Amino acid sequence: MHRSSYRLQAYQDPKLAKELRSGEVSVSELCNRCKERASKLNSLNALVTTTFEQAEKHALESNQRIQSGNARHILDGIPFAVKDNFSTKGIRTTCASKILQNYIPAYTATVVEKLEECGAILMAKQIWMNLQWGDSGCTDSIFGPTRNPWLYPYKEREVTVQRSDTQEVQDTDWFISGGSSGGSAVAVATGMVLGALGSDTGGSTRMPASICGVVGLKPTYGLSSRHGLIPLVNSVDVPGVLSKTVDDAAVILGAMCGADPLDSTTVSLPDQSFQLPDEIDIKGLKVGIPQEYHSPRLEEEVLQSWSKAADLFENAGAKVIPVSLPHTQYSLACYSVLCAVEVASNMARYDGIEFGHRSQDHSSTEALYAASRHEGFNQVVRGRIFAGNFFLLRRSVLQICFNLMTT
Amino acid sequence: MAARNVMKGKTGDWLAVIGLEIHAQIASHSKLFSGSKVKFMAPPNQLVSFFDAALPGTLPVLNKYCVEASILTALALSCKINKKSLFDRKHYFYADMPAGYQITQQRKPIASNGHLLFNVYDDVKREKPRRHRVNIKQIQLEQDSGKSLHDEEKQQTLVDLNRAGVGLMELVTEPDMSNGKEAAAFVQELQTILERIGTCNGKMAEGALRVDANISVNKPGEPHGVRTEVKNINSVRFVKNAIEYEIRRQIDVLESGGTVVMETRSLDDTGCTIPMRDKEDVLDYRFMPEPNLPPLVLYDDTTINSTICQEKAINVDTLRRRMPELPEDQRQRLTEDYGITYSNAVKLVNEEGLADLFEQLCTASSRKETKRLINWCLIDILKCLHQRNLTVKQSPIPVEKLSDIFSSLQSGEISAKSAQKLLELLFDGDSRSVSEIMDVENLRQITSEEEVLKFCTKAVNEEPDLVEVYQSRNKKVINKLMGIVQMKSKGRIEPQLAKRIMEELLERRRRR
Repeated sequence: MHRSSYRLQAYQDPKLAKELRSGEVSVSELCNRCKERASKLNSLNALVTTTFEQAEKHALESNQRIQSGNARHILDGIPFAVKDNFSTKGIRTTCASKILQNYIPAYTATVVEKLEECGAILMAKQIWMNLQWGDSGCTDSIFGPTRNPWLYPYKEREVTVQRSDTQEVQDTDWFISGGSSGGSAVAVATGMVLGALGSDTGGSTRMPASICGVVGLKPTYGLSSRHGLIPLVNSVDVPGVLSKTVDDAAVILGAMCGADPLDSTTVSLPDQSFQLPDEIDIKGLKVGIPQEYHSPRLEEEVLQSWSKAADLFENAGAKVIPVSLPHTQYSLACYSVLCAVEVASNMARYDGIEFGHRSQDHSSTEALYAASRHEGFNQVVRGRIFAGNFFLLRRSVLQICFNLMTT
Repeated sequence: MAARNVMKGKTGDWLAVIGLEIHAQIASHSKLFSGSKVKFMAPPNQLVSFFDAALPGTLPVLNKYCVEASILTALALSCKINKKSLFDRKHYFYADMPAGYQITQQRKPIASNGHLLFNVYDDVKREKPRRHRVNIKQIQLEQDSGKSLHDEEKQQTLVDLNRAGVGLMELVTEPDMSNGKEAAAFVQELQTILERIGTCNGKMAEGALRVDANISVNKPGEPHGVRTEVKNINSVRFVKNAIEYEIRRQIDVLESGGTVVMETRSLDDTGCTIPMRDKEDVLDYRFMPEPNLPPLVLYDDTTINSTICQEKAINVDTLRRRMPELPEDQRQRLTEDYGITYSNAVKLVNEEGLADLFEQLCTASSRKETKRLINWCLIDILKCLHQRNLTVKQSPIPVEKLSDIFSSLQSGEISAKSAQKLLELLFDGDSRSVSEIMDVENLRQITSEEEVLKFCTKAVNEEPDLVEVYQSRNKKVINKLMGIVQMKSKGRIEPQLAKRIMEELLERRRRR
């Protein structure tokens, strides 16, 4: 093993599922390894809440099933983690925010339930940005920032991260993990778990995946249920998959997708196995390259990767053609406005009355609301809410657009 | 334009313009967007699902029955059904609305452009109704809020979320009413219709039907005045009184040189309107499309086959065919088929179940003596029900027994008084057959002249003085003798028969 302080100790296990089935590795052993890894790499600050006790119990049950030939699914016995915006019954779900710092949901998100029904073992809830708003570096959570595992001075600096609201970081020699599903990406990259769920609204699964060197998949909206996924932008949010390999991502997607009666925006597909064939044949597949994406400020390295990918497709027999997405130039503005609007709306429920942080100021209902929300939300979130409410005012152009949409 | 009622003020004539916004609670088993139960007067916070409490991550799921209920209501009010309608969020902060917004239909409601024709009685005796038409602007589906109770003493607010999320149909009328009577009559007819089609129980006292009135006044020929809103009127009587009070109040304000403030007012116990505290006049609700609910698409016979999800799809035409007979149609039909007066038909239809009972009794009775039967239903039976606080449905007497009583009454086998006694006994729980009771309680009429003569003879023999008076001076004392006869026979002799026999007897005695 290379002793360089900048080299990550990778955890290679492509045949892990097979090893589990054959009994070479027991589920409990696997979970223990993951648990040790998580403890050892605590300084990366990827996890909010761990569920090791419960995991141990589930590991034993899973092992029994596998031993007796009754494995429920490929995922039976596989340790996974979810971003801390997925509701988990009885397990703290904070959204890395003060407003939900001590919130313990009374139900579990559908996609998490589905994975657990397959026998996958929930190991932890993961850090992300404070309610998903902040810079894209995953530095804005109340638990402190998550660090990129690939360039981290493990040996030189064994520091414990101070978890506090004021974000006093002991060490400064670290790199971002990307966000907002940074914790999930780091956990997968370092082998703390073998697969993780993040969420993706505007790249929140794909970006940290890219920065941490793992596979990040944003499934099509409507494929997986959002019931239990604490929303940011209902129109765009999806549960995202982070894994080591594309095959793993396909397996996890297949396990968690499907129409859910509790989510009216999900659809049913006739075939939802998502099994990738061993030999992939893409002859005749039409691949479009949007012209507008070639923006003048695109970095050379990115352009090269893009071209390389296009070439790969072409050489494999696909038909690579230029296409036009003429409204691309407006997309960012639309996204910003619609996001702010939905965020302002979705945050309206955080008043400390039924759940969440409640202020001590009880002088009047209005004062209670104002104080709870001021204390519970950070500046960035408050800023987004203001912007969103502004856009929703009666006199705004947005309202005119909404009304035009209905004619 | 409908006939407007003119009100006299100190400075001249005034006209009033009234529109109503009515919230009708849908009589469904579960709430509009969640599976928690709907029940009146349950212990606080017992009927609250995760979605109702706005727990993060929960999503709305549309209740099919609620949609069907609003379509039925819209059809009953001759509305146009919008085959595609949308849901929106209406934002405001209040303790009884956990999400910080209400899901409603602001841009495109489920129905629009309907109307209701109903009777208004301007005369005290309620004999000459005039027809009045009110147009319905739209009907929309929306969530009800929870309830908050303010404890001034302890300086706290108690929140009960049982009602949060219950389905409501909001009916918005055009300002087509001109006085309290018209508005009250509208609400009453609406109640009857909703009860009939089963979409809302219409009980204002329980809060199942809540009326907000928009009222303004103006001089004839001038444009509409500034309007005020009177909220949460909870009885038909208060609809009339509150509106009349508010009209008077506005006229007084304007006649004394003041201006009417556009505001929201509530009702005090005496039916006077008072300004509401803490109510912002112009609140920006920051409407936004509800992103978690796709557009609501409805089908009809021509389009139902185009949907891939036939089990879940709603066919408006199927609902139209399921529509029960509406109250006004029933009134007309009863008048035509049974020859009863419209006024009696109105009374029959007003009491739920009574019209059906009447029709059943008509069919059972061999003679079509509907006149007598209608009176018997409206007076005798109804009296028994009301005395015991029962609805027709709760009546303990099966139709067959009522029919037996009526046919005995018709045939003269029993007198009206005996029929009354029979009713009372049966209503109080007597389970014997009608025939048995008549025998045991000796209720049958005495029809044989011989028998009648015996009673008359007894009376005459006991009261020789009265006979003397009759024979010499005053024929009217026969009534006293009749009284004795009735008493002795326990009212079982038909009065006319008794009188004839008595007169004959007295005549014979006189001749002796």
